[in-house]
Amino acid sequence: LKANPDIPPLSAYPRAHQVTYRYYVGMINFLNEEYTQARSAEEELSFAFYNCHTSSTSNLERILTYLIPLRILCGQLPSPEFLDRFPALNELYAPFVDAIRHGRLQDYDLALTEQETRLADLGILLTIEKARDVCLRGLFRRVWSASERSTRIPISSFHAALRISGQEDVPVEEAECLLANMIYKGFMRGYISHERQMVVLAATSPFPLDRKTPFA
Amino acid sequence: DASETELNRLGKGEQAAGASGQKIADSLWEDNWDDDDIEEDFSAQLRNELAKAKPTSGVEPMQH
Repeated sequence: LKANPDIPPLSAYPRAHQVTYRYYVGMINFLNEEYTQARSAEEELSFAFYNCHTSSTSNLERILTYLIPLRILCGQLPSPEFLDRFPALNELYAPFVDAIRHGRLQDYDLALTEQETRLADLGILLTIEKARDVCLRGLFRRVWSASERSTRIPISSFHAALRISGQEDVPVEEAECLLANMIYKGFMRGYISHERQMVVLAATSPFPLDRKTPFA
Repeated sequence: DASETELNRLGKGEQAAGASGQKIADSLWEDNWDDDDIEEDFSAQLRNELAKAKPTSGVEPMQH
């Protein structure tokens, strides 16, 4: 479409058409997992959402069904008041959002199990599974809080946190691997001392939240 | 008719940012939601689990 010079720019069309167009482009990008490109799913769906007529509740809900998990991956949570405006979305996402907010990994996994079929039908299961990392970050952050915000925390502490979060079978090596992944993905700032079985965290903002793009 | 959109509800300042496709900071989304309440329950649970895992060495989470 963009390649054809005879077609007027999108901005020349009525706003309602722009919203529809960008919703579908956003959807395509979402389903193709193109989260990081310049015209990403997040950007398209944000435009659609902010320019959609407020009385078109069902359209807003459709847009938000995909925009909310993308924003979660960016470290942004929908506020409770916002979710309240859309009961169907509230029912779907509130358990995940609450679990993330408090770093309750067990609650997150429970919600995943309960809603698996529905999430798969909507095409958002994969994204919600990815967003589990945001919840894991929260759990690890609680360990840091409980360790009086020390910059040096034994891997065994994180391992223990996983076990009390319903991950009884996780060996300590896997805990270390998860920590390494968290650091690699930018959820944690620091490094692992394998010899000492210790995580050394950055003195300032060891658990950053501000993100420019959803990390795919 | 651009009168009834989320952007307009949120106000003019944010409208400019939204129109250019940038991320909008508004009341709908929370950027900074980390819960900083001290959780005694969680700390106690964590200590218990650590004690259970290594009953002989008595490893405790570092306290400084």
